[in-house]
Amino acid sequence: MQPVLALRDVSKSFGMTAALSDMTLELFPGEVHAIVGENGAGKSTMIKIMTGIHQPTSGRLEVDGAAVVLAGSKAARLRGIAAIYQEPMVFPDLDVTENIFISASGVLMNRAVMRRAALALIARVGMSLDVDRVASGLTLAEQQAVEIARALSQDVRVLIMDEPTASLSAHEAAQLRRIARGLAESGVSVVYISHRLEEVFEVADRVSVIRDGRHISTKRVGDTDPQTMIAEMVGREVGNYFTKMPSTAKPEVLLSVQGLGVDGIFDGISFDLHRGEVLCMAGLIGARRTDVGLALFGMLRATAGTVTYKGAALCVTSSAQAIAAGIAYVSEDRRKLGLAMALPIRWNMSLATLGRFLWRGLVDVGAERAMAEDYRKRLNIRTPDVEIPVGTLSGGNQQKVMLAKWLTMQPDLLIVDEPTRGIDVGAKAEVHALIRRFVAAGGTALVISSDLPEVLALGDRILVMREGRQMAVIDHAQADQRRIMALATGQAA
Amino acid sequence: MTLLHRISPQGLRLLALLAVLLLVVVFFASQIEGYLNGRLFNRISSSVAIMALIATGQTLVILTRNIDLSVGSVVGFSAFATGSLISANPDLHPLVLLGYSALIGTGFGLLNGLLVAYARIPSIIVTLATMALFRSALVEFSNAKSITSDALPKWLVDFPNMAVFSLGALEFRAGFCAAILVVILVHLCLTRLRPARQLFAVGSNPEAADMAGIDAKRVVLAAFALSGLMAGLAGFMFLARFGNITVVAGLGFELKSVASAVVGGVNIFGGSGSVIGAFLGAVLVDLLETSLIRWAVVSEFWREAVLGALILMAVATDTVLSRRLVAARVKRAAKAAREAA
Repeated sequence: MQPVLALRDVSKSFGMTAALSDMTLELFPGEVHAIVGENGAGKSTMIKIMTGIHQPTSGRLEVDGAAVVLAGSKAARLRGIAAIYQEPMVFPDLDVTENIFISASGVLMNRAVMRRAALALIARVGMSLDVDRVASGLTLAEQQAVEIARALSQDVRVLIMDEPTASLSAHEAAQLRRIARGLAESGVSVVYISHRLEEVFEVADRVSVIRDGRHISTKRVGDTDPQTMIAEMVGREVGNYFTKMPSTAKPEVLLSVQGLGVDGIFDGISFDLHRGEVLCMAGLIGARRTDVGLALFGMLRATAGTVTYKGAALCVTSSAQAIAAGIAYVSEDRRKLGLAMALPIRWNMSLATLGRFLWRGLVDVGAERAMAEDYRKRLNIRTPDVEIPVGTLSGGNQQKVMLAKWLTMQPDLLIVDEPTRGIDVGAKAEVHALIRRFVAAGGTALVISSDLPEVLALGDRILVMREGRQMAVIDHAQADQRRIMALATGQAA
Repeated sequence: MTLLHRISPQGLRLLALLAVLLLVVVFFASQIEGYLNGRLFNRISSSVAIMALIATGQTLVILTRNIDLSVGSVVGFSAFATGSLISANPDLHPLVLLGYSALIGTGFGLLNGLLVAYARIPSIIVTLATMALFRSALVEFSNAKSITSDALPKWLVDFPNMAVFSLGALEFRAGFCAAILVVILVHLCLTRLRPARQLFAVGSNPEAADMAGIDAKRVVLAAFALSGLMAGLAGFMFLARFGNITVVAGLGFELKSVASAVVGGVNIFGGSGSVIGAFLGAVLVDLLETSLIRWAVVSEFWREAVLGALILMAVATDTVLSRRLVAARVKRAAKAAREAA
């Protein structure tokens, strides 16, 4: 049988970083082909190449055995390749029928015909849905059904589902898996990307593991098992840049969290954090680790549990209160929540602590600049001076500016969310050293990270979360990548 | 209750607007002696005829999450240029003259659209600039002269006041009827044509539109071109109605057209709204303006304030309504999830 879509030695690099290297993958009609891999393994880049959003740097795509160039998402659609995502792409102001036929051709719309066709498509998807309803009132699962129906209306041959069940309830997820199976049985080639390994075994015919932008294996699900897959997912040699430093934890408990929960988001989080300790929160995207950090920082109202901080109950309802209590939170999203890119480095650094540089109500620019210069040297931020916009720095240096912004307030508790996302290995090591120095000097750090080598290099203890639940807290001595991955994917015995 | 469920939210919006219109009429009728008569209708319908066209174009632009502040200047330029053309060539065929106005407007609209869609400059900046540029172009073009109605052929001056039919004392004049025809035509296009649906798609969720293979740039360009076309036609109507055209013709129309659209329930953040709503909005704004002039209780200085308050109220209602809808959606999703679990 000929593959309907194939990637042949496809590579893609962005600047100096290689997102995909010599990726080869064959998709056959009538199969559900699961693709698994760690965060950052190159899954999204692969989807974007298959749907024409990115062009491969080298290698080629084949549809029905013939090499093709997919210039843009429209070209991919014309070849019958469509993708649906975790966050459905619907038009909230249009109704279901209009949403399904939004990219249909022709000028005149015949509402009655469209409506009948929409009903048939929704039925084929296996949902009962009012096709006259406006999309903004639909649940996520229903919106995804609409998207699938839209793909079907265009004679889809390859349907890529990118973590379609990540934000669905168990019931909705089961429904969606049924839809995926049904599509495959009708001859569509379904690409199913998921972090939930049990789901992969339930829905897929074959599964491909990718890691660091490379194809590792493709097997029939019957020929593999979760433990093998996890080993393949994390199998790389752990770089020796990250050697774990001895713990500097002191006996004093700075923060004690008991049964912390936020309705509908996460629950049952319990841990003690000692002064001078680094606790890493590991897990996959969507494990709700960030929300735990936000709850401790007062940005999210906890609905259950108690938090004891410095021996008293912690009650913060705003970031300002948390900062006053000596808690700092370094966001994972530099662009959106972390830095004001157009403003000078100096302004960014003093943003959280401007009160310290006030002199009779005015900003004491001299003191502010001295502080900025001091941190520039201490954190080795590579910039000619601190007056240029922070957006002109490299990602790693931006990250250091963001850390400096919070370190200037000399926090007792530093919550860092994905401290090294998207920065190179050298800068990673520097950021790690920075966090280690901070705790050695008596600070305490809670590090949220999806990067397993990083978790193992930094964490004195590791808390693993999965879908809003605490799976385990492991000591560094007992932790390895396989065990953490097994817990994070729900495959631990 | 069941009836309320059957009518679409969009339809409910229009009904609410009609109710407000009626309330305003009843209120002023009780306040002003001899308020309800044919002259009131004729006056409002004549001026709405012009604003309805502009507001229709503005609605198309707002639907795509943009704004067109240059329409007032386009109306002025179109009116003046059309006026000077017919003064110089009095024997020109009416349709040629109409086409000339349309062409001028579309040209200006295309310029706006190119700058917004392809040069990626925010529409508020582009049209703020072109509002001034087009106005200055008019000043330059007019050489500080005015067009007077004496210079215009009789058919042109008579056309907007020609009664097509009457209902008692209510005269439906040609200008008003033409405007209503255009509004209905655009409405039908918006609801029945596929390219028009892309307008809503782009305003509703630009990212998703892109993923659906819609060329958002072309859609935005088309919206601005159509807005220009409508302003050009409005310029023709303006010329016919007033006859005397100076360089300040159409000044302030841009804000009034935006007001008409948002009062008419067009979402200023794009994606939803109808031209029928914008038309009713134009009627309401004009009705209030005209009535406030005759209402002795409100001084001249407060008139603008009352008008402003109304616009704020309309936008606030819009915001609250959309927020409620989103909240209801989240709630329903959460409930469904709980039931499933």
